[in-house]
Amino acid sequence: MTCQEFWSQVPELSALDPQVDGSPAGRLLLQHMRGCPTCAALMDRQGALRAGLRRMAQEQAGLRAPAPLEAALLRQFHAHAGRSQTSAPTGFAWLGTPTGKTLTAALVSAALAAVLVWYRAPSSRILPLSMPEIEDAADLDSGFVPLPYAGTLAPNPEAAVVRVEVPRSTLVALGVPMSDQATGGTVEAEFVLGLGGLPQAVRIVE
Amino acid sequence: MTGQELDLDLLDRMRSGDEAAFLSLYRKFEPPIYRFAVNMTGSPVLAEDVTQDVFLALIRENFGYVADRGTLSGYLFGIARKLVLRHIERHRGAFEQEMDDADWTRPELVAFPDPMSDLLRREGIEELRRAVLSLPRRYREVVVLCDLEEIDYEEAAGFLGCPVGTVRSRLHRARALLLDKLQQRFESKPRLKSLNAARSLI
Repeated sequence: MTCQEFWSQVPELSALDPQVDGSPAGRLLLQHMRGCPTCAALMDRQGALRAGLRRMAQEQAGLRAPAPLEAALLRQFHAHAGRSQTSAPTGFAWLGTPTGKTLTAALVSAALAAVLVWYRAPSSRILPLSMPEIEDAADLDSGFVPLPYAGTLAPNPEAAVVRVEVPRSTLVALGVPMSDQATGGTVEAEFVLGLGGLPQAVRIVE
Repeated sequence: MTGQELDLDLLDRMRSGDEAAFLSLYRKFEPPIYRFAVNMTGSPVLAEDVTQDVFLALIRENFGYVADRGTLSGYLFGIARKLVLRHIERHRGAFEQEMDDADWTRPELVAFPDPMSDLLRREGIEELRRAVLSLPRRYREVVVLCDLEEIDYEEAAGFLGCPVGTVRSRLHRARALLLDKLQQRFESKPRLKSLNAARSLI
């Protein structure tokens, strides 16, 4: 056996000590080591290194992140669990993920823009309501459905409400409960716009 | 129930708000992830940040985990690895300088007759730890995963996204590099002592 054959046959690239391997292959390796001081020395060094790494692993076995980290993460867990259980209850769980939120926001914005452009935005179709400011959360109990990415709908003096026609399919995709299951055509809906004009909530105009 | 099935059960319960399930997952995976980050970066502070970010990702983005693509353990180690690599890339210069400085400014360096025979002593373990930290990143991570965390080669290959053969060859190369580094450090110590002795004469 040549030295090259020896190193190619040492199991797991010399992770196994041939001294304790009683297999025929192990005996061949041992035989080569007895006749080759160079390989024997290299194997000894590899063995010492493995022993050192094992010792290092043993010394680190009790290593832990500082205890306050667990408490901090537990608080985050509770905060997130509370939010996730109050949102996206209609089988649109993906809307709660960051990607879903981004996609949904983009979808709503694009839908609104498309509708406004397609209808050539006659000024009479965009109807700022008589309540351009939402002063009380109770005002939002009249059928507005918070959009999944918007979180809890809170009073916001900057919010405005616009009325537009949107495809039914867009509203279904947003998880808005529709009395009619048909997804074709358009319906008239009111959107609460937050800062930056991003829609926060929607309701169907009957 | 296998380890992975148990993890998935805990994950399902965690998703439904079960605090005990979250704590079980945290207490199972925090130690190896923290150790991995410490051994990869050499910084307990950074390792704490990495560990925190890994579990925040699990809390906030657990829907990103797809069981069909691998184990939960692999998913968490994958996040930890990305965070560690990001840090190493960001602080590459400082990190390498830190390693270089550490090699040459320790006054307590003492020569031992054989670097290998010393590996089971505390000083030898410390030298070994420094040698591991100074390995190139791709070699360091296989040593940390396979030799220190004793993760089998197939699982390590899954974590690293490479074939098992690559893990084997990198580990082989890493061990050879470690031996070289230990030998070099051993050989440099008398020179350092001589230099200090020479300086004392000036």
